[in-house]
Amino acid sequence: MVGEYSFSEMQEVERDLQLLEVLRWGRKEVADRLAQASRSGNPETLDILRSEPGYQLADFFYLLKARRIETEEDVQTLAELHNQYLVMLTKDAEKMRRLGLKVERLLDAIFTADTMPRLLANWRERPGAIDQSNLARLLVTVMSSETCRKLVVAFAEAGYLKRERTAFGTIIVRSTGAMEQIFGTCIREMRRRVQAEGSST
Amino acid sequence: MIQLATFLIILALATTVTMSAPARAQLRGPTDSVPTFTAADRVVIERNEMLRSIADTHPALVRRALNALAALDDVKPRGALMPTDPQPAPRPAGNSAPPSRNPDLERLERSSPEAMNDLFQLLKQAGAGRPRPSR
Repeated sequence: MVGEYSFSEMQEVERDLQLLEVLRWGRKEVADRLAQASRSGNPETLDILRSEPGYQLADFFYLLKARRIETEEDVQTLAELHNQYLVMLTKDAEKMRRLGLKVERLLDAIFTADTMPRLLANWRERPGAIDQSNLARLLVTVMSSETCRKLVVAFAEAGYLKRERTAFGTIIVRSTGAMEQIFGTCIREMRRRVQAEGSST
Repeated sequence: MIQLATFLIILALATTVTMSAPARAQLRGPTDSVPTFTAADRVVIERNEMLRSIADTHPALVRRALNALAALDDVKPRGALMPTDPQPAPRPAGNSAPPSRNPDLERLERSSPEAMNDLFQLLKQAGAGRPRPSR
């Protein structure tokens, strides 16, 4: 069902165009500012910061912060919701096809009796600290684990993430908070632009 | 003229989709020498009209597009992308639209706003029990 859109209502169309312009500008600004504030000038790193998956990673960390996913209980709630969502996905073949996902990948991304305790222990020890493989699990529907790994490396080089190897050979990732600031600032400027333009028309 | 448009489209797709260092290296490398195509590559070339139309004149560009597609296979297994026998794009019952002429290249343009929205909703639910900052 496609709704009726009237191109003859000039004022409405103009407002729509203003919103579209702000959305385009905001997406560009996040990429520009992540690159500008990068500690690394490596072109490969900057390209990754500017990429679509780079935007998605910044979006995810901003949401963790803005949604106040702070305590061990919060991250457990998130992991349990994530598990429920993946189980639901495995039962929806058409949606899996649309998202380019296979059952095996989804099952690998479910937090189990083995992986859940490590997720909670890392977060309990240092709020916000997450094993790289667990971060990839949470992002399974939007990017591959290899893309996630490359993003983490690039964002660490840029100074947006701290990446530490543990004695067990795992990689623990923790945000420095800078990317959430950049992302949030862009979102707020976008909102204010939309509000300002809405009140002036 | 059509050839130029095809060239530019494939170049744009192949350049924007990949982001990894190894993939970028793969994208750049073959432009300096005559690329080779495996049997699986040939299947994909044959299946995609755009690639087929420039395979002889711009093999390096075709190589770049194939490498970009291969980079996506981490998300979707390579076997699903490059079956031994060319397969037409699936068509919903009752849909009279013709099968895609570039089924693999179209994957380069695909992103998943649906998955991003689902992730947003998950985080919204997870954070729903948290007290909101006072206004």
